Amino acid sequence: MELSESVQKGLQSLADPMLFDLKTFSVLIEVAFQSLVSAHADSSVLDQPEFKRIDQMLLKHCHNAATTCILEGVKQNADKSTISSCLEDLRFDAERTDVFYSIYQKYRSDLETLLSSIGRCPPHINDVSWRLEYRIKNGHVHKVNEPSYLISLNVENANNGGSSEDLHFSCTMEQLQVHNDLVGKMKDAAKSLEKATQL
Amino acid sequence: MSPFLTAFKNSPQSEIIFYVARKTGQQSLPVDISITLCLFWPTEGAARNRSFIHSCTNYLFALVLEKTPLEASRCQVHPQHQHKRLFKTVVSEFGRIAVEFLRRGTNPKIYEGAARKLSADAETVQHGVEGLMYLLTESSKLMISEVDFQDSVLVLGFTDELNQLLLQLYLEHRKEVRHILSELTPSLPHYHNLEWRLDVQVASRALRQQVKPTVSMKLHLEDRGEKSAKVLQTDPATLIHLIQELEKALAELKTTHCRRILRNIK
Repeated sequence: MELSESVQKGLQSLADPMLFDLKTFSVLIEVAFQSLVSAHADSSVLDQPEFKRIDQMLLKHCHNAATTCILEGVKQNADKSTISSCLEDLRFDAERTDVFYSIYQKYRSDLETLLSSIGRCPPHINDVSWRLEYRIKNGHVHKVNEPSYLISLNVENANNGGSSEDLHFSCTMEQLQVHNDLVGKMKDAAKSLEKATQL
Repeated sequence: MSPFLTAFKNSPQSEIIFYVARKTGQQSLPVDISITLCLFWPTEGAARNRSFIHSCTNYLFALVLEKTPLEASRCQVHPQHQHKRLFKTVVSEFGRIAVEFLRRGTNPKIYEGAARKLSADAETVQHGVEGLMYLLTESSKLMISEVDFQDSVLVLGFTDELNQLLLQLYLEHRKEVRHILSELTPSLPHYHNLEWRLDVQVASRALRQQVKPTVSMKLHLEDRGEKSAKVLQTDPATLIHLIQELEKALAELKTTHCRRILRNIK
């Protein structure tokens, strides 16, 4: 796990019992994890009573270092030995390493989900709605007499801050089912998914 | 001789316009049109022969159809003339031009060419072709039966042969004309094709060592000849959900309610 110098310095300060006693250390680590997992950015996250006596600049620096280290660990899918060796290099004693690792275990899967959702992807289909209509006539042609489907795909655009839009198109019954069909092809995709999971 | 012919005989002009009664209130006819018949012949012929019964070598009928509220008494036109064949070729040529114009759009040069060949006015030829185009579009739009079409055309007082010609023109081209007309209707893009691909995301910048199955799809849509393709993505659970929803949509068409409506509205 590669960490920058500033992060390493912050972690070394965290390891120092003169600056942070065990209790304050535990609270800070817990706070660091929670601030990553919680949905809202809370500016009062460092306003815990335990932090009153500590220099605010130092507090921020250590919090920053802790969160960076946590994210690196989750990103690399680090196991216990990797984390332990990394922290030990930064002069963490065994107790603090254990505290860190136990809290890491607690929040790990949530953080993984969070990280996996970050990234660019093509617009993502969330839902589909449909409408069946029977076309009788229009201004240019009378006696049309054909059923037709109107399909709306609700698509979420991950790039533009999660804005969702609707993709509308019309479809005849044949196009939906028989020839060159939409549902048939989706079923093919689902079948090959099933086969792939059984491999 | 009918009063019209008498009037014609005394008229020095080289053209005469006959108005035909407007066909309204007749339940058998869904078409409501008034027809103006134009009769043209070259000026030297008019100078020599005032009577159209004994008219000169070449003349032609052009149809002009317009929705005017004018009423007039019925005109009896009897083209008992050896140039019935000429009518037929001229009308069939005009018919061919009319269909071509419906397919590709009008071309004013053709009017001038035809006008020169027939020694007539380009505007007249234009009216004739436009009249035929209107006849074709209105009949195809309403999808009238053969009988109704023949009844509508009967009012022109043409020979049976000419009526048959127009009927054939209508029957041969009505599907195509309806297809062309349907392109005018407002429409949404419609489904053309769907390509799909199964992917597994194994890593990203934010997280290494992932196993994330996704289905990438390319949806091809077509809107009046303009093709577009959208690349979309979904996860397996949503894919199953989409399939279920669309199958429900398809099943809806087979319900008794839908079948009743489809059966009864024809």
